[in-house]
Amino acid sequence: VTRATALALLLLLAGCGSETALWLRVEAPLVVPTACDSIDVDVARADGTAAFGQSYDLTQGPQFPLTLSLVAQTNADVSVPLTVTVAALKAGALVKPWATKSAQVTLSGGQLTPLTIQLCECP
Amino acid sequence: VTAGSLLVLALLRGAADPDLAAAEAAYDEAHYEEVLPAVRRALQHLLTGADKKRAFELEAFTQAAFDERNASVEAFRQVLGLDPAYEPDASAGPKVRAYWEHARRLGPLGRPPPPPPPPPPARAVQDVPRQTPVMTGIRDTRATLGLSQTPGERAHDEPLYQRWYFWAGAGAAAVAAAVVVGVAVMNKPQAPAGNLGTGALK
Repeated sequence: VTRATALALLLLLAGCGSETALWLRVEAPLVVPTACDSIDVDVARADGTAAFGQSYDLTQGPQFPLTLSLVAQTNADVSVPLTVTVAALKAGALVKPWATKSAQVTLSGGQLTPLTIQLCECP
Repeated sequence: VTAGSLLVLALLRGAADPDLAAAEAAYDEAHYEEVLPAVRRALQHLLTGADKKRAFELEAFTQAAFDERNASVEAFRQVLGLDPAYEPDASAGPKVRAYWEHARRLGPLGRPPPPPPPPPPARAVQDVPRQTPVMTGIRDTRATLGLSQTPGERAHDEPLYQRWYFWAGAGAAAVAAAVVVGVAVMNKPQAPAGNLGTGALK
């Protein structure tokens, strides 16, 4: 009885594990909304399929750095490389040539994986 | 047949009881339907052993005359109880002799029962489990309460699922599991919302 109870508790705890998510932070030397009024965020899998795509209106803020958490709903996006692309826009166009960047990240199960993308004219 | 003649007949035959004399007379005259009532009356008197034997003998003969086999055999067994060496007269018919033979095989009636067999020898002292006065008192109390076992003995015989502490433990485990699950769900690490909010990979 004790062993069975312990096993049941372990299974329950395993099923109730923490979320798998990406913690995205976007840094840019841009003032919202005069220099940038929106930002696009896209996440693509290795096979090219889109895992996420969203445009955020920044006319009401917030200012950089922008942060966003993306939660993995299935295990399909866990432990596989994902490509994250962000683009800072003004009136629907890139504010600067360097205002877009991609980075790869691999999510770990049950963990919050941070990813910081810097949009700048830096090398 | 008058009472006086019966008494004379009884005296002549050596029978002291008038009812037995009447039974003899009725039998001799083949008035068999009168024999048995007279025999039964005579048997209610205090008869000598010989008269009693004769009364049962007359009953046996008369029952045989009526083809009452079982009753005749029982009467013969009474006779054999009084005289184990009894044997019907040679003039008795084959039916009577057959009933007598059967009665002899069954054995006599009316004999005192054999003495009871002696009790088995007492067990050796070392074989008798020792009982302290306390144990005897406990057993007496249990008998008064209608208990055949002590609570400890009953608990030992009951299966696990019928013991109170099994269900108490199961209930406690269920409550603990519910608490752990509840706490785990409530404390489930949630991804923090950024200033752009939270999205979902699909």
